Amino acid sequence: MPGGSTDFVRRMLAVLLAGCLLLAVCGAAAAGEPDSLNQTATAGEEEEEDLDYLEEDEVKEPAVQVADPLAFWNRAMFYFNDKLYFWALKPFCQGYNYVLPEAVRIGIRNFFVNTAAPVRLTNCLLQGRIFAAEAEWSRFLLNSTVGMLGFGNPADQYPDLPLHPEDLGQSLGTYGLGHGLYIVWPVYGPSSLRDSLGDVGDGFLHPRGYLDSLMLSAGLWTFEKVNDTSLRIGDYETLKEAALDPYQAVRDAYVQFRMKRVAE
Amino acid sequence: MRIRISFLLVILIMSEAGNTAWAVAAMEPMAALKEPVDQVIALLKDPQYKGTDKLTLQQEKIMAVVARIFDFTEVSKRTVGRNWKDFSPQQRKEFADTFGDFLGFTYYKKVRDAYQGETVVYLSQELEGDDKAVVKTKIPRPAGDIPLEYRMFKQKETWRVYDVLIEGVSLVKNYRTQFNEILNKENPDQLIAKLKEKAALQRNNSGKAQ
Repeated sequence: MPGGSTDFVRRMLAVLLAGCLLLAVCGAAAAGEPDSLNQTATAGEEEEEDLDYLEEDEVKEPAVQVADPLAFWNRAMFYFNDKLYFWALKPFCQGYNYVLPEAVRIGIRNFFVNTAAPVRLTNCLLQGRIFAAEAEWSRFLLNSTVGMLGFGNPADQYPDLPLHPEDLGQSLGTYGLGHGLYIVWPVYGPSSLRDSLGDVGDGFLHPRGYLDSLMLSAGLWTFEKVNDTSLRIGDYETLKEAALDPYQAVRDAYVQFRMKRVAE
Repeated sequence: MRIRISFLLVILIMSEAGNTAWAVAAMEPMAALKEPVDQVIALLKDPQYKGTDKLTLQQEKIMAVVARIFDFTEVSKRTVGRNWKDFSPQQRKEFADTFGDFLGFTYYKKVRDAYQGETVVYLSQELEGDDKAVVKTKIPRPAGDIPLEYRMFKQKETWRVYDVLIEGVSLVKNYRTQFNEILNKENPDQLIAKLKEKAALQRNNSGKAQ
């Protein structure tokens, strides 16, 4: 799957997982907290002043909402993808993990990330980020040679050569284009009108699109997707458990995540 | 000479006093975060909590540490957003307690199951005015680092967390969408009841080993 959505799903999961480590860790104990009563009382007294932070928040980081006129379809697809994950993808990945050690799967992921370099490089240029494009080019050269066709990731040792996960959806975002509307594709996952168009465009930049056989392209895409998922089993489960409405939680996280990516 | 020495002494004493005053007055936000985080990691690593029967004890200890650094009233207030004014003081307290429990049970289980001896790398702290700060950290993992950003505020000279961003996704904003949707149709008591039900479910789950 080209840049956006896959990456999102991956990151998102990482996120929730992460949430875990600390934040998470954190959760609970409000109950035993001695001064939470006092604070609540104070909050009550200063009701007006109390809501100032909302405006302050709005000015600094406006809440980005996404139009969701397809909510009915989207929820159905969300349900479908959820079942696809629990009934097929997850059990398959568990077997896959049993056969392949994590280090090998990370190598495979590195390879796929490296082959997508033309997408990132072009979008760095589309956003006018010459130095980022240069870094992507250097990464690609280094990882393809010293990194043995990209299975290794020696570029990670250089703080000056960070990965720039740019895609066309983000480039369009930097031009001021909004999401349009939120859309959940079957199998492909959460996206938006803008990001879907972006992914189609990026498809022309991805070497996978130039393979002779469509079956082969699709197979490689699936392989990449499975491999990525195998590295973050459990993240989606946490996300789902932590939500009152998993559909809304994923939609909001998608929008927040993409907004941050565009801003970067 | 004597004058010079006493002058030097005065400067020394003043700077010492200055340092001490500074340290007492306001622990830096990053240091304020690091201390409880280290304690949580120590608790996670402690072999005495290995048995399934010890999980509740470990959970309680971790939650107590977390409650010191996380201000769940502030988290709740920001999460509920504009609707917070419709909550009575009693409902606010109940909501904050329940939300704290819910987050605690949910993430305690996740962290416990996923923890593989990672450490936390503290990247930077940025102050926004006198009483706001952003502390950026990451958890290095072979499969990819996990960036965690803490939003903190200072209240009575103590730095506490009011939001966490994982990969740029704010926990507070993520729940705000969901809570607003519920509060559009239902009243605060109904939301609290829903959250209680969910917290109880997570409590049952969190006592189980994976």
